[in-house]
Amino acid sequence: MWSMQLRLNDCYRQQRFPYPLFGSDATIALGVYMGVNGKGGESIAPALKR
Amino acid sequence: MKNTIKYIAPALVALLAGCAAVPAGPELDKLAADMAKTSFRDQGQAKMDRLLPDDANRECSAADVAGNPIDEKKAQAIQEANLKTIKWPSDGQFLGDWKAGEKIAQSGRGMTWSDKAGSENGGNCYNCHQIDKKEISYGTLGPSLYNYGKLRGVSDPGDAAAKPILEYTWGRIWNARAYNACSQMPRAGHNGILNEQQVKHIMALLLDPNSPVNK
Repeated sequence: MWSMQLRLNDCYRQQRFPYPLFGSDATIALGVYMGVNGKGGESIAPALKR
Repeated sequence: MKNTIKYIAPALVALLAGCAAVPAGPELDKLAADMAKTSFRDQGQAKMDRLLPDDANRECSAADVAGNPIDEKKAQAIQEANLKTIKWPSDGQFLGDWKAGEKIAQSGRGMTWSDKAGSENGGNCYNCHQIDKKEISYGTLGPSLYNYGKLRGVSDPGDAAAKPILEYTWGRIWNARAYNACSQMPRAGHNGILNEQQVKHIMALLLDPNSPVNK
């Protein structure tokens, strides 16, 4: 099981971003944003094939 | 208990005062840009300059934030500027090999910090487009490209009548902003994702009558 930090790291890699620092403001802000907005949501994976 | 309140109260007042001064739009933009600067670093070929928006990026996201389509005149200017950047095939040949094109369309490799700089990139076309009907795993952010050439009446790509479609398709792959100012499509040629030969192969995939796309 990957932590949110690892998931975001790979997400940014695939977006061709520069390297996100672990524990950086941007990654924590994004993790919190998704946590708050995704609360109570149901997983519908695989939602996207690609 | 009383003591605790005595200490917390001033802190609360300070906190609330802080809340009252929520920064406005431009300040927030600067905060976000500064945060990006301290949250990322160069790694391999993925350098920090990738986070810098160009003028078109700025105009398009500003329109997006405002919830309006981009101003017509600004869109025209962006499209004209981008149209000028398109490099047309050096030998006048638009089409390569559709089989090679299919491989490029399938491949999503390249340009990440874990790819070797200078290694061959894919086009990742299937990520957003349906192309060959046989491939059932495709994205839907872009329009379907199945029967692309056939639907546009290209039966002989060498024929002069097909030239405008060939040019438009080449330009759209090379730099999509030449036709749609705020296009989300990666500018494959313009940004050096695909080279001229690779764009020719993609062109063949879309426009060669023998390509499965046009069957």
